[in-house]
Amino acid sequence: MLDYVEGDLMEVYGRRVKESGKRKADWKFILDVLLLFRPGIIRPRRPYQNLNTYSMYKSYFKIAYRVIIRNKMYSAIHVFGLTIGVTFALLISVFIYGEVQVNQDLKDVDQLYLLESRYRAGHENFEWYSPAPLVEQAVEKYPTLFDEYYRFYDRNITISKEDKHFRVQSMIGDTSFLPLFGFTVLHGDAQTALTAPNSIVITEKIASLYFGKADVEGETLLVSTEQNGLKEFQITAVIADLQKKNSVSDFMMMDAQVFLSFENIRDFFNQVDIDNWSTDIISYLKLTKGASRQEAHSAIHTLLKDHAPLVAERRSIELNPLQDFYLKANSGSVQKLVVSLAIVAFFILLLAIVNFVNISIASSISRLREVGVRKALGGMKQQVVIQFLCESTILSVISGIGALLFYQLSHGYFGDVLGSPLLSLANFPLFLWGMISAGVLLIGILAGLYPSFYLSLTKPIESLKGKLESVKGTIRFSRSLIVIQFAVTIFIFISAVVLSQQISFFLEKDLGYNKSRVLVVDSVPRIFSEEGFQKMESAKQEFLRSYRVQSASLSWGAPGFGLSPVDAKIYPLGKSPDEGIRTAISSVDGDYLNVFEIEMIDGRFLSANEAARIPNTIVINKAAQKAMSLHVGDKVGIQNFGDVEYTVTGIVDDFNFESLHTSVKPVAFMHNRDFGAFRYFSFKLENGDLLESVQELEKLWKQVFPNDPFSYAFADERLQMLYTTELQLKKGSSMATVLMLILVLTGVFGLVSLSVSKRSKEIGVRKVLGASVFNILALISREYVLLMILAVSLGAPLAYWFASSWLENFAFHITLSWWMIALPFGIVFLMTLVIVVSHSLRTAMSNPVNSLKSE
Amino acid sequence: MKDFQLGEFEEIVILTVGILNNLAYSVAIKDEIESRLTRTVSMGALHTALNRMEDKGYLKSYAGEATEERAGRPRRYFEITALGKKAILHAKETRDGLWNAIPKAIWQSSLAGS
Repeated sequence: MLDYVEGDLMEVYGRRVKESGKRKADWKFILDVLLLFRPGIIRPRRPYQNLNTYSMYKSYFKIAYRVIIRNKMYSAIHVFGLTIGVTFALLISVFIYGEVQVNQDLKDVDQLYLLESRYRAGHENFEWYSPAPLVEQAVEKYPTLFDEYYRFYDRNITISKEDKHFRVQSMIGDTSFLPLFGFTVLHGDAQTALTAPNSIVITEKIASLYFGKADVEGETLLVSTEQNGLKEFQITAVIADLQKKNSVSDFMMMDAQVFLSFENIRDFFNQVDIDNWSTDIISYLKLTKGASRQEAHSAIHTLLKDHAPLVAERRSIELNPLQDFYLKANSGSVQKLVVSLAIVAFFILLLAIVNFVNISIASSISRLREVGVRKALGGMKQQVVIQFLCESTILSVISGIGALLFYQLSHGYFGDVLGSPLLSLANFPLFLWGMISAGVLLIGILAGLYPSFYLSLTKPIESLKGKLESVKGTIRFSRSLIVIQFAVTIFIFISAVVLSQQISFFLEKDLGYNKSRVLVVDSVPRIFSEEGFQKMESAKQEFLRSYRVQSASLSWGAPGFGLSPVDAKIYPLGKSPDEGIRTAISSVDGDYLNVFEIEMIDGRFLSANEAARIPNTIVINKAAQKAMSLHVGDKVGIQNFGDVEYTVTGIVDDFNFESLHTSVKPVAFMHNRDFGAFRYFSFKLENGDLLESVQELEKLWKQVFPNDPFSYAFADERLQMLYTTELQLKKGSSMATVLMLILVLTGVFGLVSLSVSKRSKEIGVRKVLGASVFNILALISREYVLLMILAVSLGAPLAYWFASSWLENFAFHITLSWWMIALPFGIVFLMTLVIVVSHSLRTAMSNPVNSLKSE
Repeated sequence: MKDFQLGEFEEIVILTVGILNNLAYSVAIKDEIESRLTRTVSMGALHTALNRMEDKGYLKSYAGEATEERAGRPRRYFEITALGKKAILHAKETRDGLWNAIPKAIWQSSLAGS
């Protein structure tokens, strides 16, 4: 182009010189040249250079895709490991998310507090009780500090509608219930729902249970009250089903579904005085916006001191924020579970990433040349890094998608294991999606970071020569990663073994009574009058007539249902009650011993024959006998049980009705009539088909108590529920162990296959020089054996320390023995060896000619 | 017009290339336009138009002989391609169509008016 333009200019110039002289031609020439400066001429219309580097990004992805496709096996190992890791991490994060969200739905949860009593020694009582008038006074006297309060008693009541009878958990409390916690009201008015007597608020679930629909405002339900018999209640509001585990309606897992007003308190409790400072109740307080907790605390302290100095002497009241109450209750058991699960998930993810890094490092040696060529052709260090990061991120995104798929398939099962349903993918909040995307990208970058940086740092000349010296440091690095992997796996494995040993010990331990074939019915009508007792006694005779019932007993206290309603101090007569020993008072009848087959050591049990019964007699267990050195025939007093002398008529062997977390407490049995209350019917069933027996019993129950539901549980199943957390942990830890084993073994598999393929020539030379197959196997496995021994010397002491401190939590526990450490190590060792040997065997056996002739 | 992108100046240039037949090179085209249309054409505008139309495929070029008056630089001769012919024909037809569509009355009234 330049030539032609120059030619034109020269031609025109020549002509102009002839026409109008040199001077003018010169000027016109300059003008022409200047006029040539236009985009169409000095720059081609299509730009000859890209103004961006899109094509480089395209190349990153293209190369990454090619690398992934070429190394199918290693890519599969990468994706497999990361998918397992991410799936598990996802399951656990969703679980943790759910646990953290508990209570957050309550209105103004950051201002809500639950009152907790800290008792002085010797005055221990239920920690969530506080004096009943306290919160009311607080709101009245300090309106700037306190906004609103709610108090309740809980009662398990039978509610009927025509022929539908169910036993439902209820809360009987202040009218502020609905507005204070902001529960969603579907029908009815939140403000006035609980103001009138005989009004009842129910959840949607209960509404559909009785009526089959939610819109039932104004309908009535029959409630069987303890004091006034059957009463009609009017439904004033229906609320949406409540969030599980919230610390109000699901306080201490009671799962309340119906809510009554304090107006009806006398239907359930004979003598409750809400205005008396010595009455205890569970109270919630709402602080005003911006009120300081410190000030509120001191205000409550002052109130308590002024109104009830005696109460204030025995305990102090703390404000427990409801926001994190669920996590921190039971000395933080949920928090502990959450933290330990998070650690396990972290470890599994770590293992997966380590696999990735290790195999990347090992296989990167073959890509050393590629890096050399890239750099020699002018590729920058940064571009090499991006190339490798791009590959690892693509793999991690693939794994992320796979993990979402696996999550969707397995979240139901994991929800069962963890004891709380997990969200389905469709219900994920935006926050979780953001976390997942960020997490997947982060994993991709983390996994690719080390290999990419170390590869990008190699000098082009060395890497073009394929010198392995530059890789030595990284081999040490990847070895230490393998040691960590093995150590973590062995640690988790040992923990899982100890855990499952302890749990089977729990479930198989001789508890001092026979829990099999014992059916406990907890829906006994609670009528504690003389009439009620007579009704129960005749009912018992009815049940005993059935050939399927061996023996029956009415009591308050059954295995897994709680041992006794109250603790009281038993003291020898003549001494002060304060010197007595705290004893659980359990109320039973004379047949209790037969049903549970508890061993009698001395004396007689309470008489089964009502006519021959001597009032005011008690039977104690061995723990109580030892604690007080009592004997049969001794007379004792019981604090808070009136000025009555009780005679010890017998001593039974120790038995354990509660979980083995705690040791056997002193127990005293008292007759139902002396005690004045009962709760459970326990039946020892004859041998034979259990299901038929239950059906038979149910039919009988319907005849005897037509207005009460038949709600029952087997004692042994109920006892298992005491170990729910442990059973969950057991399942979780065995699952974690399996996953970790899979991850570690695939990692080892990848590494071995790489090292075997790299060393095939070396193996060939060794074989030619006379090495046997065994020598070669030993050569390859030696490295892993050494690494594993190093790992076990790290992991085992840690696991030992951890397991023994965990076992300390239980009153009854197994002793750690050497096999619990040796067995997991042995299994890991053998499996690794099998993988190493089986994979290197083919190379070791192959003809050295094959490997040596190829160049 | 959509199928054949042809600007006003481009149209003049390509028609001139047609007039000059086998002798169409830049200076000749420039002289021809200047003499026929009595307007000055800058070298830059001409080259741009020629390049643009070559890109579009309306023209093709070949190097001619190097002459002394051009100080040894070759001439670059242009000729119209088949596509180029189609383009100018299309342009002419659309113009004619528009011309024919104007009612006769316009001419009369405008004549009367002037």
